[in-house]
Amino acid sequence: MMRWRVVALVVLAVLVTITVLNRKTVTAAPQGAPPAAKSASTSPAARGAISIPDTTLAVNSSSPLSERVVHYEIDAKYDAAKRTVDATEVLTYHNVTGQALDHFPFHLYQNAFQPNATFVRDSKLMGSRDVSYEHWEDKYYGSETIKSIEVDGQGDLTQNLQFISPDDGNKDDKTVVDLHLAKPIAPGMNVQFKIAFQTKFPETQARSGWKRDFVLGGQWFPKVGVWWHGAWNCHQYHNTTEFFADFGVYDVKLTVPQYEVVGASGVQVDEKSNSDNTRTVTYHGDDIHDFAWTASPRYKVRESTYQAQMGPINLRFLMQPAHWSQVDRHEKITRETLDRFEKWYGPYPYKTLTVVDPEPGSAAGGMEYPTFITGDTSWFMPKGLHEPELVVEHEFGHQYWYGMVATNEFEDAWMDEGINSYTEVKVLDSILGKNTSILNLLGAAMGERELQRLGYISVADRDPMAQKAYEYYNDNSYAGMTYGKTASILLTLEGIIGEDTMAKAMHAYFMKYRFTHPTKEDFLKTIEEVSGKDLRWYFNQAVYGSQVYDYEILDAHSFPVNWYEEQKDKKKKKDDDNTVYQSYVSLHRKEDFAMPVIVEIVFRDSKNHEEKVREHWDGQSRWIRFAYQKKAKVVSAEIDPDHTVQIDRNNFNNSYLVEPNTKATYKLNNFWMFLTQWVGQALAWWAV
Amino acid sequence: MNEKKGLLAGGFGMVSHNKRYIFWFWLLSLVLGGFGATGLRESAHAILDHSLYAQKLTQGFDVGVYVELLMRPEFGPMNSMTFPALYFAFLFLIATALFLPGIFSGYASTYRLPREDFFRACGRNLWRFIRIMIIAAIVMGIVSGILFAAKGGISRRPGKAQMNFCLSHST
Repeated sequence: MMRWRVVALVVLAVLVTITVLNRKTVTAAPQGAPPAAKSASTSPAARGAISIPDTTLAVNSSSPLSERVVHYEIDAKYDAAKRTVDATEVLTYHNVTGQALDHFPFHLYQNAFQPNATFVRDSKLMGSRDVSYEHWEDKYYGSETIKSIEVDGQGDLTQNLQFISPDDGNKDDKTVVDLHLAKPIAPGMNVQFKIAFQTKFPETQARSGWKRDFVLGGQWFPKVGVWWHGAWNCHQYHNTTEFFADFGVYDVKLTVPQYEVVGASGVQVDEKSNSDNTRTVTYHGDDIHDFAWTASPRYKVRESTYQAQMGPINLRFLMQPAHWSQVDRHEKITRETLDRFEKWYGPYPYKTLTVVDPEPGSAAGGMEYPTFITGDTSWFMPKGLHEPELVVEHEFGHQYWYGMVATNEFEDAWMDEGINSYTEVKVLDSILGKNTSILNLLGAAMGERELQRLGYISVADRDPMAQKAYEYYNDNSYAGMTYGKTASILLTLEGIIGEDTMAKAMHAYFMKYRFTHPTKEDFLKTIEEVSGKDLRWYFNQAVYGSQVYDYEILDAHSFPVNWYEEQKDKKKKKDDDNTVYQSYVSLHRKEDFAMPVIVEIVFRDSKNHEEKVREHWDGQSRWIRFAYQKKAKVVSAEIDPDHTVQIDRNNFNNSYLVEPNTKATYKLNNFWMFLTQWVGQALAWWAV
Repeated sequence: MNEKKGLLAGGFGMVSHNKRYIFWFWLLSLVLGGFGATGLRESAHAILDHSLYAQKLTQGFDVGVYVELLMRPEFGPMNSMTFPALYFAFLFLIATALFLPGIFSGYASTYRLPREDFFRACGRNLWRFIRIMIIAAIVMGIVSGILFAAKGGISRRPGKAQMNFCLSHST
């Protein structure tokens, strides 16, 4: 009896110890970290051999940051001569959908680079940012082939693979393949897919592929779709779409030739040399939804550490030798951008960030992947031309808007590109100056907000902002709407609700929706909640509609009230000090976007004293006329005198000077004259 | 060393004794340049003269404002500005070809060349000068073609650094 009491006491002590230890772990969450994500393997049946790890090796957090739906374990060998990857992929999928799943669609993005694929067809119709496909060359060909696929407990299901084209019915498009299971996967259960595949990279297109001996591996492995709003969301790859995937864990082994310098998403956890003159580098990523890598024998590497809110970040810069002199610029902008993002929006939780300077002439510049971005620069980049800063800032911004706030880039491209473009304006204004953030060279200047606006107004009436990325009229419209219009309407929104309120709304949006897949209404409602204002009138026009904003000063003039007396008696001296003038200022709404406007009217009397009057107009009717009687004439009128509206299609007609000022015209005239003279002289010298 | 000094000094002497040629060519360039800028000037007047937004071109130079000006439909197509400029630049080239023989005669002469002799020299040597320019154009074309072909060949070779210059939007 005594013996059993001792045993019971020991068991009780162990149980109490375990309970106490667990409680301490739960309460030790780091500052700034989101609430610990649900464990991916909670059900008893799910625990066991197949599970998604709750590792935190790659994040400055003691607990997972996202609901981990996937675990990719990829063992890949890169053949630099053939530019192919042969790999095995073990994908563990946790069914959190609440429904039994009997089929799983996979993205095979590299199949987009084939002559009859939807991506190429779209490019020929709508235009493309890199290859025009005027004629087909073998180097453009890419492919991603599943050699075999087994499902744990169901055997080899390779025969059950079927290409589908849910967007356009293009039977030649092989960027989505659907796998029908023999047995459905119950809710809460994990399933494991063992996939053998080969990827053949094309010469870089859409920021993935090779150029000479450089390679960027983006969208290179079979990636399962996302279960979203009650159905599978797995779009074909179009030339204006990007990507959408679930959060999870990545363990990737890359075997590359010995001479390659490698960079990738996540943290490097192992490296070993192989007997066949290759080496295998192993990476691990936590709470990310994609994995990209790069290799080149010529990268020059700089590493440094940035102390972020949640812990240190290893910054790694892979630069082209010809651009090594610009590594300081790349590092400086990275650090300053990190600083702004952490202060304004929220913490960057990952332990690493790799910044890649891709091969010149490749179409791999300016792209984002989790914890891995590519910049874009050139050997000739004077300090006053801020292209490297712009690109690095923009791609880093995607770590927040796409990387952590993982919106659906197929359906709501503006939510990552546009919101990122908006924060890009704010960050670059802060670092490089409002009017000089793009260019500050030899007296010429340009700001980022103006660049975004120009991108928008060039296609202002083409499409609404909120539509699927592959349904815009063409590539220009896609770019103008998702980047330029979004940035411009959010900047204009600052003028409506206040800059501070907008900043609070952005912070609230990030903190609430990081590591989730929010919709556009989630974003818009957050702004309304934080501002306490009903902004539907604005969102209906700016986000969901294609209305164009253009208000103009139609007329501004003054004449003496007693004009008829001057005509009767021309000898009568004009008494300017006492002359009363009747003045009119007319405003006109040219387009169909209606919004309250402020106009500032300047009067000047005979003693050159100026008086400024501000009027408010609700902007609803087509025009309005303001009338005044003063002992002063109107000299100018300006709509939006504080310049808070960024969506006006024509800023030149927002103001009117009664007396013309030809200074600007003659300045341009002189420049053009100088150019003409220079060209003439150059031709003559060349001839002589 | 003495020869070189003599050559430079001699050349400078020729130019300084015939400053009028430089003046007339500068005036010709200015007039033709003025004509070349007419298209832009007329288009710009209509948009800029009554707008406060134009101040961004006079207080510094905002490239965004300039680009927006070029994008305005009422500004007109760029062709209407660039072609006149090119025409007048080409006209200056023709004028150079016409007058250069006379200028060379003037430099070579030890006395101030009378106007009649100047124009006679222009006419007498004009065809010779045009032939020289045609040969120069052929040689330049061949050299340019070789250089472009070499550039293309270099860029196709793996492992070589390639220099490109492009300005792009993050779009």
